[in-house]
Amino acid sequence: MQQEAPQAEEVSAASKRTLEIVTAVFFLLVGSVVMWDSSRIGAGWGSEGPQSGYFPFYIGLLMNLASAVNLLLALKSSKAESFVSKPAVKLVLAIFLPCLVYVAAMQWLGLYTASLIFIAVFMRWQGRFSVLKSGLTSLIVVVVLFVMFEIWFKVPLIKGPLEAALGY
Amino acid sequence: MEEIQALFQGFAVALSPANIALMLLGIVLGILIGVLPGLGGANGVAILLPLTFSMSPVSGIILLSCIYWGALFGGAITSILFNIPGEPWSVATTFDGYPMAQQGHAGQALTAAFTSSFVGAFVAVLMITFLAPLVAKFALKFGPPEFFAVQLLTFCSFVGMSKGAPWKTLAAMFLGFTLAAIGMDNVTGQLRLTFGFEPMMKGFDFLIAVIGLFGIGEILLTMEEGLAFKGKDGKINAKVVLETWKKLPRYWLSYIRSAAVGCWMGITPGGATPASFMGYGIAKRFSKTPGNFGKGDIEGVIAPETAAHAAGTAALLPMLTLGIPGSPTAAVLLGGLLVWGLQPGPLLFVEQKDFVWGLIASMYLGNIAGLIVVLLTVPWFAAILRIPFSIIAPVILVICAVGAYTVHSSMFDVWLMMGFGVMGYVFKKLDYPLAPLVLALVLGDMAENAFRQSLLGSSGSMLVFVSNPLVASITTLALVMLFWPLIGAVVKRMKAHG
Repeated sequence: MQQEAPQAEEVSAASKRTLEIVTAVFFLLVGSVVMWDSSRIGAGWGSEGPQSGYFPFYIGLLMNLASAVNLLLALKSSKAESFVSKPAVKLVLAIFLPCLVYVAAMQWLGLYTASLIFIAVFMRWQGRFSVLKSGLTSLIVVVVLFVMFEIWFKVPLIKGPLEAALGY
Repeated sequence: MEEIQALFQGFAVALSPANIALMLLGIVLGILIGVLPGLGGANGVAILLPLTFSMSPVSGIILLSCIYWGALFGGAITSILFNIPGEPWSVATTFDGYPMAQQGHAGQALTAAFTSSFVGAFVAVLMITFLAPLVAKFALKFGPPEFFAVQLLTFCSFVGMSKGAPWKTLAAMFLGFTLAAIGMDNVTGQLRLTFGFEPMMKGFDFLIAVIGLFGIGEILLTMEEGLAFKGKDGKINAKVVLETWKKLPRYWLSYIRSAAVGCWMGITPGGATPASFMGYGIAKRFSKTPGNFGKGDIEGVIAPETAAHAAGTAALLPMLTLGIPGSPTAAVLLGGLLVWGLQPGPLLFVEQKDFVWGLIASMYLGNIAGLIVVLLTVPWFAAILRIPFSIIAPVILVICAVGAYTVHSSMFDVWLMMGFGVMGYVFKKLDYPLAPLVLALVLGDMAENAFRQSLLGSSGSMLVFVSNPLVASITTLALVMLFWPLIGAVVKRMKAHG
């Protein structure tokens, strides 16, 4: 779904209307699942009063109602307005995708090592800092985190092979 | 004067050296959170909440509430010096604060903003000191139907008072209730909406939602704007402060109006952001020189800051007395009470006197400490904003990930946070409000319990919500709020037709 806004300087990556529709449909799906699951476990009046699904069932019903109106309003809205421009999407993805990789890496490398690499690489890549500056900044942040969580507040964070090698 | 006596006992609790240290730490962290994009009051408190699990409840709430005050102060710094509101409630401060800084009066604008914040908060704390015990005493008579009606009023007020699309407010709110329902039903033990997926069984933690929606979402939004900070110097010295203070009493009427608006908007869940706009609007309407507004009128800084701080503080009144928070940050603080094993609600004033009055005393002390700290440290915090975003962004993401992980030491939560981050980004861009979603997520279980108990008492008849004058009037008020957008539209149409 590409929509070129008239007179816009930057090419739109998606129209606002598209996103409105997608969001409203998302709400409708969630609402329907809630209603279905609630009626499965019983949304009526049991021997001990209202059953487990009673309250959520109506929540789902009302959510569907509100979202249906939102969907209708979205369908009637103009196609011209842009949700986000193409250069902006690139910027957002430039932080979001590395962040996904970072979270995935946390599981294997531990939080400290993953953070060390994430901050340093992002600074080098997006901020064009020197390798030394990037590495040092990132090391300071990680050491502060380590002292604060592991030593000061004694809240253990997820650790990987490097921490194990260092005796933690 | 039972309250005064209780308050002095509270000061005795709050004034221990350890608590004063926590207070100062909280203020400094709070200002930092308020200054940095992507970290705000709600998610800043959410990230730090797990660190307080091992503290005593009084120390924990002092640390967290001082972070909240600090964040309220910090929002003004970026608005005035950089024309970038660090927090939504400081948007109105940019209107006149930034022009003042451009004209070389940054010091004056900052002094006026901080002092006004302090005055607003102080009025609200005074109100809490004397009004909260009365409200709590009154609420002790509440049964489940009354509690549910008050909750209904809270949520309907979101619909009636928000400027945005009412249907979007409703959809976001019900999504919050849905998320709250996931996991084990605490009445029957039945699993709901988990689909046999193990990590879902303990339910969604609202802290994760807050960190994702507000933290990650905000970073994505900030990134999109390709932010480059170009700011004015935050030079401030004793002479400027004293000269500005001499000028301020002239605006006493503006202070009273804004503080009143703020207190009202804080108790009802309007929150600090609309309060700041209303404060600004009212000051402009009553001003003899409305044309100066927007060009660097000091009153245009005073009015929104007073209102925002009064509202931010007053939001704690319904949280303490009824267990219903008036703002997302108050909601996170309420979550803290539950974690520390305290049951929010009117009984708190009877059973946890030390906690309640310690907190109220710390509000006085915290705001005085906040004013001093913020005046002394402004230039440093302004310097932080000159750090390029390519350093700040990954560091804040790491802090959010740490915050999400520490809640239950679970990687699933970190993934969940990323999901909520995308949701926050899209919702913000499409004007789906986040505050009702978070409040519904926090209050969902309590609202459902009150609802079920009410229906049990009445054997399923909905008439229980209009069964006595008290509950009937609250319910009616709630319905008026719910249909307010509709009523407004009808009135407008009738006027248009003559």
